[in-house]
Amino acid sequence: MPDIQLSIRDLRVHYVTEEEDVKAVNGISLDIERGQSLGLVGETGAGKTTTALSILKLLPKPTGQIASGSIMFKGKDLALASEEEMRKIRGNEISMIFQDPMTSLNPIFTVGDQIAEVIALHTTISAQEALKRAGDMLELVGIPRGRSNEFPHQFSGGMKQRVVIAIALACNPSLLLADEPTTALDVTIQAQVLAMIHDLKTRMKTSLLLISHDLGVVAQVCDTVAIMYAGKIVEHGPLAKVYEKPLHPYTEGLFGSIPVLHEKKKRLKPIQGLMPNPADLPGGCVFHPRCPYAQGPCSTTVPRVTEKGDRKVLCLMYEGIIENRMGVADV
Amino acid sequence: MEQKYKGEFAEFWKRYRRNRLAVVGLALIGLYVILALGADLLYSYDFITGNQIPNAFSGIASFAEVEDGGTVRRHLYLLGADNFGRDVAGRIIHGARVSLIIGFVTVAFAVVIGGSLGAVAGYYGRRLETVIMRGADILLAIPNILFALAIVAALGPSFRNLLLAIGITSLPVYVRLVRASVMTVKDQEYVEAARAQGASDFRIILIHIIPNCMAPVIVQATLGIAQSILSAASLSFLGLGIQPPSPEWGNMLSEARSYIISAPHTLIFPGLAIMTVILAYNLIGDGLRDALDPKLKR
Amino acid sequence: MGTAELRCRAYSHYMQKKDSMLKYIIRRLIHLVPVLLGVTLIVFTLTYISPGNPARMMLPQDSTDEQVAELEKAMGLDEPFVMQYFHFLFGYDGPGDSFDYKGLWALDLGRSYVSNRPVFGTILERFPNTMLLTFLALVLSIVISIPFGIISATRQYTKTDMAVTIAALIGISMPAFWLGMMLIWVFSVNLRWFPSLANPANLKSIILPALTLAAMNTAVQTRMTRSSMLEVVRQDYIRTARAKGVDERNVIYRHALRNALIPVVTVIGLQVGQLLVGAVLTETVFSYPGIGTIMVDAIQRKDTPQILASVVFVALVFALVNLGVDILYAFIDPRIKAQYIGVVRKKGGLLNGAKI
Repeated sequence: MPDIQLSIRDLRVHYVTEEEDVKAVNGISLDIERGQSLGLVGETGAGKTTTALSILKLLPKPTGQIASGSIMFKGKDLALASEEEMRKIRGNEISMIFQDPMTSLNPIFTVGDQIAEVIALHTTISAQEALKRAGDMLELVGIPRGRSNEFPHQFSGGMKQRVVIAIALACNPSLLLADEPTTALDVTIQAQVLAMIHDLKTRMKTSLLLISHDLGVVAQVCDTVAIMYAGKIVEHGPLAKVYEKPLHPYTEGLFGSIPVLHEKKKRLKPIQGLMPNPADLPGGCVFHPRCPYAQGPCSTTVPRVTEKGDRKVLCLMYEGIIENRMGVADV
Repeated sequence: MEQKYKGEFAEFWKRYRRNRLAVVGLALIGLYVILALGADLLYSYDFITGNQIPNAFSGIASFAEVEDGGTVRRHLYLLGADNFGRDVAGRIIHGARVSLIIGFVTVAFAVVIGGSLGAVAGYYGRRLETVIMRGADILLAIPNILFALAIVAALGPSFRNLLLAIGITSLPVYVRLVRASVMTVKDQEYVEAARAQGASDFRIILIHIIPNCMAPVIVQATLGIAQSILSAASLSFLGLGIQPPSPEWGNMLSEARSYIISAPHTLIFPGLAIMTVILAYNLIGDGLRDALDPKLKR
Repeated sequence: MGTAELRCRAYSHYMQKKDSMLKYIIRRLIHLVPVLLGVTLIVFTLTYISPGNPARMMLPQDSTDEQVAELEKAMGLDEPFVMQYFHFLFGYDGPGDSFDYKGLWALDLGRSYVSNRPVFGTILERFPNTMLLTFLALVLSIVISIPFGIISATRQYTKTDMAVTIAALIGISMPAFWLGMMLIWVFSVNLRWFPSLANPANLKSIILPALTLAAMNTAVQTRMTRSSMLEVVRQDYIRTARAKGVDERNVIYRHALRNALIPVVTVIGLQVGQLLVGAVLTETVFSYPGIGTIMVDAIQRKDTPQILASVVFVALVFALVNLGVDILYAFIDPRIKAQYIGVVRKKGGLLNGAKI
């Protein structure tokens, strides 16, 4: 019996504005086991960040709304939790690391204060003690504790992201949401930060939801991977299996657009077309306008989840409705 | 080409229209412009500047016998009469004409002169820029209304001096604004391309640079008109602007001040007129700023 | 890197900052000199070209041209423009003693044509009154605008927000002299709560003029606070604060407000000078004995030395107040100043990046 930490079922999130109704997340289901890390991969606008924000219920107000579905965390449905309950969870049991470290820290507080704040919020220790613990956290992420009295503008981007990670891990959360934590950083620093997240996560036995558009980043840290497209998870499974043999045409397309050094390919194969406008999604399978294997029923029939062992895929090819032309009928 | 401009205007209008208050502002100014244009049809100038002493302080919406162009007739004092029995509504409408002209002329003067100086300073730089910008700094160092007051006090109160004073004091803002815009635009590729084709400096500034820094100038000019109208009213209130019996909102208030107890209506309506016009221009200015802001374009 | 080295670097960084601050002040002071000279030159030129002849105005109506010329000579009005401007700045020592003055630098520009008192005597005597009014208005505007700006921003698009926004728009559009008269009409004439004439000895009588003077600034600052607050609330670090579990109250008052107030403080500083000038009209409406009333009286009586002195005085104080605010601002928070410069540079960098 796996120890499920977070369980999302059929989550739908809409951004409601005067002009349009943007369907950002369209019925996704996810499970994360204790200590496990899940990579959520997709293009910009696929609904990855929205998924993470809805777990913390930090969707932009008043437009972002959880339309339906449940987010079970430690026996509680976060989708129905009150603001008061959420506040006790945020930063304490579930933390989040945001994409841009340059703007994620408050410019008028010292980094020490900003780490100590989250500790003081969720524990009963004194301010002095909290500051000391903040210093410990700084050292944990490789910054000398003497710098805790400095302001964010005195730190470089990579250092700021370390501070952000220190804030996120300060209360030893059971779930960490990392939204493109390395995208805004230089390549060399990316690797360091990534290694650090991986190391700390393993040591603290934290579960991780890593959001990225970069398959390489996910490969370094994650055990399982979920591929997201237009608000839906189109493929989900153990990292090694998905990477070795994608089931979904979109996943295949993602890998086709990455240069591989040891294979001799004439040309990269980018996925044709653009992601559909989430306010106006195509009927049937959302991917069919761009799918190289699309056939007649794809534009009318909405695919359902097909389970293939420990993998799941959302494509009519595996429901036997259309002919499987990908050549990976069996896994 | 024409199609393209039409499309641009439609796009602009679509964005402007989103701000409902800005549309209200535009409607208000439209109303004032129509009233100002039709002022002579509604009330003759002689009538609203001539005394009707027996009707002094007639109340709002009251009827009275008046002498108009040699004949006696019954007249409706819509907003009452002032201390000389002159029709307040009529004076406000004729005053609107004066205020709108002051606003437009002074700002046009400031934009053309200030804008040219700013363009020259920004485009040529060096010593010319230093001289122009120091001059602008000095003008900016004297508060607007104080400077205008000093000019009119020195030259004597007259319509021309009023325009001159307000025009000069509004100048430096446009010098700075246009210079800053020109400096950011002048090294863009399309300007360099024009230069490479041998276009003259004048042509480059006029055709390639100025149109590309119009947005902030348009917004500032709209707010500037409001500022000018307020300055003119303030100076007239102090007795340094348009002199009675010529109708102007500021001098109406100045005269009405003594009758605050007996005839508050002579004080309320001209003030409301100033306020609504300035409000309207501010609303339009806000709307334009949002509609012309490229950051909000999508 | 050793700690000693770190400390050393931090110290030199600190010294550099201190040094640049002093340089900044000196540079601002040097920059002020030509501006002030320009201001005085403009005001003096205006008087010089003004059509009225002061000598003729001082003499009885039936005086002869010879008498006028004689007085002109005594007053130094027959000298060339440059000399007269020089006298204006550094003093005049005429044939007689009655028209001598020490010049602007010594705050002495002779006597009023009307009262025959030294013009700066009157100004300096009444200046504290104007300062009192300005100060009250400043305090009022801050106390009213910041809370309303916050309320308006935190309840964006609600009826409260609409009401505050519209009130601020009206406040910006209302001529101060008219607002003053309306307040008199309501609170003095009808309700009889406050006197309609103000004088510095009676604090209650200054409430209406202070409100009048504060109105415009209050409106501007309210709008500024609101938009700044809305801007800050959208920032990533506010989302970080929420993700930490900070409650909404502390998100607003601890994390957002202090950031939002930085540009508001700048605007307040800029407006101190504007208030001083706005006092001219407000004082007139309430017949409050300050610089404004001196100026307006002098204008009505064509008392040239008094007009000249008041205009120059207010312009000088305006320039000095703005300088003072700038320096004070840099002193209070050099960290924020440095950050501001950083932001500007970053923006410039972005622009350049786009070009490449």
